[in-house]
Amino acid sequence: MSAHQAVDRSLSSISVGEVCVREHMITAEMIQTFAELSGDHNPLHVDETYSAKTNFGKPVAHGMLLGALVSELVGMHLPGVRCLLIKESLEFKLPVFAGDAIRVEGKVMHKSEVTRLLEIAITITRGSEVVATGTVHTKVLERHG
Amino acid sequence: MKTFEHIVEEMLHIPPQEGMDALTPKDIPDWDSMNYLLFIAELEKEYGVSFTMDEVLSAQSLGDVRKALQAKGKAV
Repeated sequence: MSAHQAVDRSLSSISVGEVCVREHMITAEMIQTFAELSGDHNPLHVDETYSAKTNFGKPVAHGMLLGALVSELVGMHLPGVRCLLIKESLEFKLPVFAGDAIRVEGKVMHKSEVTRLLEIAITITRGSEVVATGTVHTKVLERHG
Repeated sequence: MKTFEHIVEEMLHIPPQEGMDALTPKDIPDWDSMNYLLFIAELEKEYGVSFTMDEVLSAQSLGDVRKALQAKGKAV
Protein backbone atom coordinates (compact mmCIF):
# COMPACT_ATOMS: atom_id res chain seq x y z
CA MET A 1 0.00 0.00 0.00
CA SER A 2 1.37 3.42 -0.92
CA ALA A 3 1.63 6.24 1.59
CA HIS A 4 -1.28 7.95 -0.14
CA GLN A 5 -3.65 4.99 -0.19
CA ALA A 6 -6.29 5.03 2.50
CA VAL A 7 -7.02 1.80 4.34
CA ASP A 8 -10.49 0.35 3.81
CA ARG A 9 -12.16 -0.45 7.13
CA SER A 10 -15.74 -1.63 7.31
CA LEU A 11 -17.96 -0.53 10.18
CA SER A 12 -18.15 -4.08 11.50
CA SER A 13 -14.35 -4.36 11.68
CA ILE A 14 -14.07 -1.38 14.01
CA SER A 15 -14.44 -1.84 17.75
CA VAL A 16 -15.13 0.54 20.60
CA GLY A 17 -11.84 1.07 22.40
CA GLU A 18 -9.75 0.67 19.25
CA VAL A 19 -6.85 3.10 19.08
CA CYS A 20 -5.05 4.54 16.06
CA VAL A 21 -1.84 6.53 16.48
CA ARG A 22 -0.10 8.74 13.94
CA GLU A 23 3.22 10.44 14.51
CA HIS A 24 4.31 13.62 12.77
CA MET A 25 7.17 16.10 12.82
CA ILE A 26 5.90 19.66 12.54
CA THR A 27 8.07 21.64 10.15
CA ALA A 28 8.32 25.28 9.10
CA GLU A 29 7.39 24.12 5.61
CA MET A 30 4.16 22.59 6.91
CA ILE A 31 3.24 25.84 8.65
CA GLN A 32 4.01 27.87 5.54
CA THR A 33 2.08 25.47 3.33
CA PHE A 34 -0.89 25.59 5.68
CA ALA A 35 -0.77 29.39 5.63
CA GLU A 36 -0.88 29.34 1.83
CA LEU A 37 -3.66 26.79 1.75
CA SER A 38 -5.87 28.43 4.36
CA GLY A 39 -4.97 32.05 3.68
CA ASP A 40 -4.17 32.47 7.37
CA HIS A 41 -0.93 34.42 7.21
CA ASN A 42 -1.30 35.77 10.74
CA PRO A 43 2.19 36.91 11.76
CA LEU A 44 2.06 34.78 14.89
CA HIS A 45 2.30 31.81 12.54
CA VAL A 46 4.54 33.05 9.75
CA ASP A 47 6.61 36.03 10.92
CA GLU A 48 9.76 35.18 12.87
CA THR A 49 10.34 38.79 13.91
CA TYR A 50 6.78 39.39 15.04
CA SER A 51 6.42 36.11 16.90
CA ALA A 52 9.80 36.63 18.62
CA LYS A 53 8.25 39.62 20.40
CA THR A 54 5.32 37.57 21.74
CA ASN A 55 5.24 35.30 24.77
CA PHE A 56 5.78 32.37 22.42
CA GLY A 57 9.12 33.59 21.14
CA LYS A 58 8.79 31.95 17.73
CA PRO A 59 6.12 31.11 15.14
CA VAL A 60 3.25 28.98 16.45
CA ALA A 61 1.74 26.30 14.25
CA HIS A 62 -1.87 26.95 13.27
CA GLY A 63 -4.27 25.05 15.50
CA MET A 64 -6.08 23.81 12.44
CA LEU A 65 -2.84 22.36 11.12
CA LEU A 66 -3.30 19.92 13.98
CA GLY A 67 -6.92 19.63 12.86
CA ALA A 68 -5.66 18.69 9.41
CA LEU A 69 -3.58 15.91 10.95
CA VAL A 70 -6.75 14.63 12.63
CA SER A 71 -8.29 14.62 9.17
CA GLU A 72 -5.34 12.47 8.02
CA LEU A 73 -5.97 10.02 10.86
CA VAL A 74 -9.64 9.47 10.09
CA GLY A 75 -9.46 9.90 6.32
CA MET A 76 -6.54 7.55 5.80
CA HIS A 77 -6.59 5.14 8.73
CA LEU A 78 -9.65 5.04 10.99
CA PRO A 79 -11.90 4.33 9.19
CA GLY A 80 -9.94 5.35 6.07
CA VAL A 81 -11.38 5.32 2.59
CA ARG A 82 -15.01 5.12 3.73
CA CYS A 83 -14.67 8.14 6.06
CA LEU A 84 -17.09 11.03 5.85
CA LEU A 85 -16.11 13.59 8.46
CA ILE A 86 -19.24 14.97 10.11
CA LYS A 87 -18.01 16.96 13.08
CA GLU A 88 -14.66 17.87 14.58
CA SER A 89 -13.99 19.86 17.75
CA LEU A 90 -10.56 20.57 19.17
CA GLU A 91 -9.31 22.38 22.24
CA PHE A 92 -5.79 23.73 21.95
CA LYS A 93 -3.99 23.58 25.27
CA LEU A 94 -0.36 24.33 24.41
CA PRO A 95 1.36 25.96 21.42
CA VAL A 96 3.06 23.72 18.89
CA PHE A 97 6.19 24.83 17.03
CA ALA A 98 8.26 23.77 14.05
CA GLY A 99 10.54 20.97 15.16
CA ASP A 100 7.99 19.44 17.54
CA ALA A 101 7.37 15.72 17.22
CA ILE A 102 3.70 15.15 17.91
CA ARG A 103 1.55 12.09 18.37
CA VAL A 104 -2.08 12.13 17.23
CA GLU A 105 -4.15 9.44 18.92
CA GLY A 106 -7.71 8.56 18.03
CA LYS A 107 -9.71 6.23 20.27
CA VAL A 108 -13.13 4.91 19.26
CA MET A 109 -15.52 5.85 22.05
CA HIS A 110 -18.81 4.87 20.45
CA LYS A 111 -20.03 3.10 17.36
CA SER A 112 -23.60 3.45 16.16
CA GLU A 113 -24.65 0.70 13.78
CA VAL A 114 -27.87 2.38 12.68
CA THR A 115 -26.33 5.76 11.89
CA ARG A 116 -22.94 4.30 10.88
CA LEU A 117 -21.29 6.98 13.02
CA LEU A 118 -18.09 6.65 15.02
CA GLU A 119 -17.24 8.97 17.88
CA ILE A 120 -13.47 9.20 18.16
CA ALA A 121 -11.70 10.91 21.06
CA ILE A 122 -8.61 12.78 19.94
CA THR A 123 -5.53 13.37 22.07
CA ILE A 124 -2.52 15.15 20.58
CA THR A 125 0.68 15.00 22.59
CA ARG A 126 4.26 16.22 22.42
CA GLY A 127 6.25 13.89 24.60
CA SER A 128 4.35 13.77 27.89
CA GLU A 129 2.51 17.05 27.23
CA VAL A 130 -1.05 17.11 25.95
CA VAL A 131 -1.19 19.91 23.39
CA ALA A 132 -4.75 19.41 22.16
CA THR A 133 -7.79 17.26 22.79
CA GLY A 134 -11.04 16.87 20.96
CA THR A 135 -13.71 14.73 19.43
CA VAL A 136 -14.45 13.66 15.88
CA HIS A 137 -17.64 12.16 14.52
CA THR A 138 -17.22 10.38 11.26
CA LYS A 139 -19.60 8.35 9.20
CA VAL A 140 -18.39 5.04 7.79
CA LEU A 141 -19.83 4.91 4.31
CA GLU A 142 -21.08 1.77 2.65
CA ARG A 143 -18.58 0.11 0.37
CA HIS A 144 -18.49 1.64 -3.10
CA GLY A 145 -17.75 -0.30 -6.23
CA MET B 1 -26.07 11.22 33.13
CA LYS B 2 -27.43 13.64 30.56
CA THR B 3 -31.20 13.87 30.36
CA PHE B 4 -33.13 13.50 27.13
CA GLU B 5 -33.83 17.23 27.28
CA HIS B 6 -30.15 18.02 27.75
CA ILE B 7 -29.20 15.95 24.71
CA VAL B 8 -31.92 17.64 22.65
CA GLU B 9 -30.56 21.02 23.70
CA GLU B 10 -26.96 20.02 23.01
CA MET B 11 -27.51 18.38 19.65
CA LEU B 12 -30.55 20.17 18.20
CA HIS B 13 -30.14 23.48 20.02
CA ILE B 14 -33.65 23.59 21.42
CA PRO B 15 -34.01 24.59 25.09
CA PRO B 16 -36.25 22.47 27.33
CA GLN B 17 -39.81 23.69 26.93
CA GLU B 18 -43.45 22.77 27.41
CA GLY B 19 -44.78 20.60 24.65
CA MET B 20 -41.36 19.84 23.19
CA ASP B 21 -42.42 16.28 22.36
CA ALA B 22 -44.66 17.64 19.64
CA LEU B 23 -41.77 19.37 17.87
CA THR B 24 -40.91 18.04 14.42
CA PRO B 25 -38.10 18.75 11.97
CA LYS B 26 -40.20 21.63 10.64
CA ASP B 27 -40.08 23.28 14.07
CA ILE B 28 -36.39 22.68 14.76
CA PRO B 29 -34.05 24.45 12.32
CA ASP B 30 -31.08 22.30 13.28
CA TRP B 31 -32.96 19.02 12.81
CA ASP B 32 -31.26 18.25 9.52
CA SER B 33 -30.22 14.81 8.37
CA MET B 34 -26.69 14.95 9.79
CA ASN B 35 -27.64 16.51 13.12
CA TYR B 36 -30.41 13.95 13.52
CA LEU B 37 -27.89 11.13 13.08
CA LEU B 38 -25.59 12.76 15.64
CA PHE B 39 -28.59 13.12 17.99
CA ILE B 40 -29.49 9.45 17.61
CA ALA B 41 -25.88 8.33 18.12
CA GLU B 42 -25.62 10.48 21.25
CA LEU B 43 -28.81 8.97 22.68
CA GLU B 44 -27.48 5.47 21.97
CA LYS B 45 -24.22 6.26 23.75
CA GLU B 46 -25.80 7.96 26.73
CA TYR B 47 -28.53 5.38 27.32
CA GLY B 48 -26.58 2.31 26.20
CA VAL B 49 -29.14 1.28 23.61
CA SER B 50 -29.23 0.60 19.89
CA PHE B 51 -31.96 1.90 17.64
CA THR B 52 -33.19 0.07 14.57
CA MET B 53 -33.33 1.68 11.15
CA ASP B 54 -37.13 1.51 11.34
CA GLU B 55 -37.15 3.42 14.63
CA VAL B 56 -34.82 6.07 13.26
CA LEU B 57 -36.71 6.55 10.02
CA SER B 58 -40.22 6.41 11.47
CA ALA B 59 -39.71 9.05 14.17
CA GLN B 60 -41.68 12.13 13.16
CA SER B 61 -41.23 14.15 16.33
CA LEU B 62 -39.16 14.39 19.49
CA GLY B 63 -41.98 12.53 21.23
CA ASP B 64 -41.54 9.61 18.83
CA VAL B 65 -37.84 9.46 19.66
CA ARG B 66 -38.66 9.58 23.38
CA LYS B 67 -41.19 6.75 22.95
CA ALA B 68 -38.58 4.64 21.16
CA LEU B 69 -36.30 5.07 24.16
CA GLN B 70 -39.11 4.27 26.57
CA ALA B 71 -39.85 1.12 24.59
CA LYS B 72 -36.29 0.03 25.41
CA GLY B 73 -37.04 0.40 29.12
CA LYS B 74 -35.48 3.80 29.57
CA ALA B 75 -37.27 6.24 31.89
CA VAL B 76 -37.06 9.42 29.87
